[in-house]
Amino acid sequence: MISKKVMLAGNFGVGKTSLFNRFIQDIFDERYLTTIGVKVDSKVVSLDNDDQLKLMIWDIAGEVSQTKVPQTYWLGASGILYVFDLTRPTTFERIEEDIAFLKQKLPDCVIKLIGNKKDLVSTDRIEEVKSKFDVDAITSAKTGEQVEDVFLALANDIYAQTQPM
Amino acid sequence: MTKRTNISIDSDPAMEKVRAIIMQKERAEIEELHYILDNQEELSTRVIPIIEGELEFFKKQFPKEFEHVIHKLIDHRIKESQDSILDVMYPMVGKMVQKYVNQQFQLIRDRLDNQVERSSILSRLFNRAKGIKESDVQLSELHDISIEEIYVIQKNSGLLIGSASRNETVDPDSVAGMLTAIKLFVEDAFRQGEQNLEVIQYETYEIFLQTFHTYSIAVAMNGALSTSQKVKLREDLFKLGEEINPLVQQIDETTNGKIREKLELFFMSALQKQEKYLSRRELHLLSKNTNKK
Repeated sequence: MISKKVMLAGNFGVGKTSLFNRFIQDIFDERYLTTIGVKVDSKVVSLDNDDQLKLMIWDIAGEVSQTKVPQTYWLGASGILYVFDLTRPTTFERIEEDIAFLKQKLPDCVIKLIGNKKDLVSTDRIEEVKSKFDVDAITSAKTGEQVEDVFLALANDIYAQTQPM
Repeated sequence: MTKRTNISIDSDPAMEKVRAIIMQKERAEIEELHYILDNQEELSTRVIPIIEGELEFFKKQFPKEFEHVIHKLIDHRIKESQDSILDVMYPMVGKMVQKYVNQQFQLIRDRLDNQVERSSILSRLFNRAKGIKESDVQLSELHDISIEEIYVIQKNSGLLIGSASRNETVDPDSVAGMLTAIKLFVEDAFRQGEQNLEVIQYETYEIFLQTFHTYSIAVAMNGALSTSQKVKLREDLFKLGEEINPLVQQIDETTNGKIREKLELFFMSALQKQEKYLSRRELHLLSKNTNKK
């Protein structure tokens, strides 16, 4: 089975670990425990074409800027989920710079932008954010909404990229 | 008005005769040419010396004319297959360095042995007086070490290329990822340039890491290795590296299985060595007990 490395990136406290836990173990913890270093886990997903892909997911410690993440962590990554917190505008202030940095660092990597903590914001806020950024998914790690879908979409895009044209 | 006679020149026999007389030489030459072209032997005797001459000229001129093109090609090929070359080179260079270190160790050991021999005579006499055999002392210095798991991990991405385990208790993919994360974290945090993290220790558990150019081999063991055992294990891993290099160059869905076979053989060989040691020890203990009786 093909394995691919996926990174969860974004500011601290945006819910990367919660998304990771929800996707891998289908659990949610209300407590906030900051991630130290990295946590790596894997999950096999079934793709749209019924093939299977193993995602090796790296949940890294949040940083205000992605340039501060140890640069070796990015090596070999095929996909990135860039997460921001819908309730904290400071977490989406650097989206453009961060995405540009990641695209320059990993030109062939599939990057998806995720607004998390949907359960805590109004529909108006979501629409406002959507009008500003090209968001791929609005998720809630707490309710599990869109979590599986966004990982699956990422896996399908990664797989499609590996196939000969 | 004069009347023009309409006689074709081509069909006029007189003209034909005149033409035959004028073209006699040319026609003979054309006939000869046809003969040469139709006769392979005749053609060969004439053409081969020319081709050989050209080839000779080409041979002499080739390096001069195409030197820069060849150099460019070689440079390009080397750049393209840099990873494969380095992967092949790593175990070889490693072995050479290891051999040198071993030789130096041997020299130091010999010198130390000479010096220690005098002082150890006293302790041997003391042990003998207490009924302790020299072989018992030597055996007690060895540790019980067992290889529990072995992983081949793609460098940087941390993706598992292949693994073998004694118990299959942990998820090898996660272990490979976490080991890589720890390795990258330590190497990045201490910014030690080209230095690699080599050992991770957890109480009696030790993970020995041997880094190659595009991959690492991690060996998880129960028990701590002595320096000489580390040297031996590194030698074994370099040999293993040589065997798996061709498999690592082209990773596909069959790679994991092929590498697993190699790792299982490595396991078997380690087990055999351990059994040999254990049976030696058991035999020794048995003879010791028999002697006591």
